[in-house]
Amino acid sequence: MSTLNRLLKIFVKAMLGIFSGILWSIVYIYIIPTIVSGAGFQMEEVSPYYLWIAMFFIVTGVAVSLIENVLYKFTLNTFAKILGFWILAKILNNGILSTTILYQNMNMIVTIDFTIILYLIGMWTIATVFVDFYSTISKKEL
Amino acid sequence: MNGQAYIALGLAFIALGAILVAPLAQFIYEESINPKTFLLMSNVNPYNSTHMEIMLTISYNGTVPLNDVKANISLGGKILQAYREKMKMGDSLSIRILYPIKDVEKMSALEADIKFTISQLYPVEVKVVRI
Repeated sequence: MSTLNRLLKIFVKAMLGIFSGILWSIVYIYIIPTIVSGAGFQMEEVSPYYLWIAMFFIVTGVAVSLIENVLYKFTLNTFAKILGFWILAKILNNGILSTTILYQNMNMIVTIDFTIILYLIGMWTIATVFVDFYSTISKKEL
Repeated sequence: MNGQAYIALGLAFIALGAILVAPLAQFIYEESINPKTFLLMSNVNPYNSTHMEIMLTISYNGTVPLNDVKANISLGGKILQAYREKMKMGDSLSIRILYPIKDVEKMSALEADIKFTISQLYPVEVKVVRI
């Protein structure tokens, strides 16, 4: 019964990790490109990396969910968050997007710099790492 | 505790994000429903027997203020500049060029580079490659 409970606990944790990984994959593979292309801008082509992005988020999601040791959990979680932010910055071309518009015999290349939004997301990422760190040193489960 | 901290952080950053994104979203929305919100117009008129007058006008009809609007026009080796600290709805920025009629075939080499910031947050560069 105890073994079954443990197995069930591991299964539930793994499923939670997979679910969280799928959610983040949807954000990166579908939601962000839809918003950017909806605004009329061209971004880095994400489709060749669908599998890698999905695998990254699912594997780190499952690992973070399954690891019991708070220190390892915190380290992996921080690594996953920083790498996730790096992927985001990469697919958004470090916050600089451009588009070409043909208008009244004019060929216009419009470039917009929205690095301020990336800074905000970066700040949020760091803030969540601090929350995780506080939880770790308070010996609370992450 | 951890969950509450995440919710508090999430809400704080969503609020801050909404404030930061609002001017950009408004500008893109206005530009998409009305492409004449930010308009670059060129007007060519004869000036005298040797020159013609080229008038380049940037007009703005959006609600989001534009700051540090700089326009550089390169035509026939000459670079003309215009600057306006702030552009609001109904404002315009014009550059007048007197161009020799004999060099009219070089007109295709005209290039314009317009830079501005949306609400002092988002730098934008518009390069007009060919007119």
